[in-house]
Amino acid sequence: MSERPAPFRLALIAPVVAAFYYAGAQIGLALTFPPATTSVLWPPNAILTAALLMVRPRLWWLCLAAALPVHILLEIDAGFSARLVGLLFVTNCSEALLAALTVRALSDAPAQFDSFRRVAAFIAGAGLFAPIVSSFGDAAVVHLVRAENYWDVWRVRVFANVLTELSVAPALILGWQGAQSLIASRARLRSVIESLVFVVAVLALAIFVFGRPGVRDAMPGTPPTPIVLLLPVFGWAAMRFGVGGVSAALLGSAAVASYETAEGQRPFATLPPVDSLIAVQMILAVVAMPLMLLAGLLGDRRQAAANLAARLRFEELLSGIAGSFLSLTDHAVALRTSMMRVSEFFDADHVALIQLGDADGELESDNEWSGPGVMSLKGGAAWRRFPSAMARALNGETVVWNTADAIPNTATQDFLSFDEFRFRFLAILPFVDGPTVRGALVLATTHDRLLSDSDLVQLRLIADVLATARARRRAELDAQRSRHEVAQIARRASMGELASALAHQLNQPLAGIMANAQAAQRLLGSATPAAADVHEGLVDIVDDCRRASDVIQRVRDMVAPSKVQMAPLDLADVVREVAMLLSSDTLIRRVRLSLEFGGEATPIRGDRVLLQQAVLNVIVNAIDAMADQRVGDRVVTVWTGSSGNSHARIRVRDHGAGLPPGSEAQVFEPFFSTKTTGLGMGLAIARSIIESHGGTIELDSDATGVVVTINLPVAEIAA
Amino acid sequence: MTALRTVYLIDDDASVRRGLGRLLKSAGYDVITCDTPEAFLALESYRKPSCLLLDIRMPGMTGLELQRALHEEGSHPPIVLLSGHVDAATKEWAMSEGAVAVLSKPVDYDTLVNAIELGLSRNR
Repeated sequence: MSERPAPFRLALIAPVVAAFYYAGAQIGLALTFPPATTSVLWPPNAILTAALLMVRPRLWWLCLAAALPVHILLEIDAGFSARLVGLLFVTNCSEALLAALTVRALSDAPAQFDSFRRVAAFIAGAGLFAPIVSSFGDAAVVHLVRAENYWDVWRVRVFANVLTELSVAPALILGWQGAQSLIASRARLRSVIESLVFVVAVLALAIFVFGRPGVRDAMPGTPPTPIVLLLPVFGWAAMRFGVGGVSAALLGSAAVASYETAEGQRPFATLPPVDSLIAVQMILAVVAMPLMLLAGLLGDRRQAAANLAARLRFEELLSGIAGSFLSLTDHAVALRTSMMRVSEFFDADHVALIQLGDADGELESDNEWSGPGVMSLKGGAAWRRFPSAMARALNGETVVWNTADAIPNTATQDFLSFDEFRFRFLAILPFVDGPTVRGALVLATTHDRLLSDSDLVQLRLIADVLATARARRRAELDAQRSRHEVAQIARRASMGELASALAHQLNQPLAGIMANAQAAQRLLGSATPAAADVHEGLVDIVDDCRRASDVIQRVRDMVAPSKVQMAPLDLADVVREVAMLLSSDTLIRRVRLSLEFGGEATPIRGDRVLLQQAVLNVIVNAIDAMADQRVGDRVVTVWTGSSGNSHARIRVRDHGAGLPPGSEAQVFEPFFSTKTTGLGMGLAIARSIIESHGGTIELDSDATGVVVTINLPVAEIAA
Repeated sequence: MTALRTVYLIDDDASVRRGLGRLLKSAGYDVITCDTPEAFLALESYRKPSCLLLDIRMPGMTGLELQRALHEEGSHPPIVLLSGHVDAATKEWAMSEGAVAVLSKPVDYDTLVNAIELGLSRNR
């Protein structure tokens, strides 16, 4: 029974205890051998023990009070004096109380028998200590009131009660729990059938062992007391049914043995009936105790195996999550599958990874997974409606609310949201990246859920893995950003070097020309012009002019590709490849590149690399044009399709501020730039490439942005 | 023109050497040309009053290195530096090292003669 009995269970305690006590006492009284007062099998004490083990100590009085009227009624009926009845009730209760107190002190779960420790605690407390100690009092009562021999009474009572405690209490407790799970239809048919077979086997064997000699002697060569034949059934009970099974087998055998003894049959024929029964009880109890402990050990093993399996399952989850961040290139997809796995594993309706603290670029997004059949919370906004919980998480605190009652009174908004979302459970585990809290793993369910300490440890591990993945992702983005910057600097540096080299190469001949021309001027202006000197100077000037022209030709050869590789291409592929090349740029600059395709085939002939260069320059310009726009408005649309007059067309539209009026005509000139950085060569190069492919490039601009249209002749489809 | 004043012209570019040589001769200077700073240093002596006209950017020793080498020898001839491409930092550095002027190629006659005259005036 749980620590918090529902009201209807509370009301059930008294009648159930009374009913069982009545039935047990009837059996006990039937097995009394007059003139002896003490029964050879007295179940009521063990029934009380079972009741006390199952309810909280605060309700023990209720169990004892329920038993009292039944006890009085039955024993007065049996002809005992009122004084004896009262004193026997006290000794009976003292046994149950001693048993319950010692088991509670020794066991971590007094009403469970699934581990060695719990079984040992029960055997020591309820099976041995309580019957032995309480029997001193009981024997004294009977001795004083009825003048029976003290030690005879003590002996009978000890063995009768050891056996009944061992056989009745666990069988009753486990039977009660089993009946409840049977009502909840959680039992499998196979186990029910096996249980029935087991019960029949126990009774049949017990009747065979303790029954009339006629039955027993029908088998040739059988010893007169084949109690040992019961061992396999007890073993079966220990293996398959645990302590409850051993207890039930014990109860069945003891009941049959007692009944048959009362009927005049006894296995130890040389002994008086009571002594014979005590001998049987002793044998049964001694056999049962180690088997019960064995069942407890098996329980330990099962538990260890279950723990191991649960740990393995968790390890699998953890490595699955960690692995998905390594193998999946798309961080968002990895996050989403991780949320889904966590949701399944922890049986949570909502799992979210929310961001806390300062904004951090594009990592500043929430990820949420809502299980099937529950209302989605639509992103991170829902979690912001738990301000108190979020504030605590931001402080690095873990928040776990198992019920609405767990929410502090001051957190009014949190309480209202908890109620509104119909949550029954909410856990928030913050994770840190460096010194600051960056986010939290959130679990919520709309059904009752208890979070054990080990669950919490597991969730923390998962939060750590997610935090690590996030940190790695951030480092990746940082690296990407700095790679981009380095590339920019390198480009600028190489441009500066080229400019410097060019200046030197060209200024040398220019210096020569200048000097020679000025020398010639001066010579011709003098009184005696030396014609030979002037001539030499002019020859040098011509040479220097050739030299300068050679320098320019060399630079052109160097910059322009020497050979164009013409091949059949699909223009749409060129656009896709460029989009791929630009994917990290668009991500970093938070521009959305929208690719649209007209659907028609766009076969052309051209140099793939050069055309990529041309399209790339146009799109980069479009991206640059939107640097000042709001993040959400930074959209570049690239439409690729047919222009309808045997030309393939790319149309690139940005949503920047457009060009300064009147500058449209200059944009394709080299060194024209509206930007503070860059050489202003992009569109000039694009035009030279497009024109070398027999195409055209045009530009329209207004205040809403710039549209660049590229037309390229469609290739004849090869026959 | 009383005393013949000497200009040492050091430039690796033959065409520049000839052009500037002609121009400076027409201005009445005695011009001695060297194609490398090493060639200049190999001269037994240099005459005074004189001025050095040095290209900054040359293979081997640069004009600035020659200037420093001369300073280390204890001689401080007036030096006018020439370059096709001068950045502000180089110019400042050269001036702080005692250069008379740093001129960009191609150089205008008046600018050149003014700088050389200024250099020659430092001989006194």
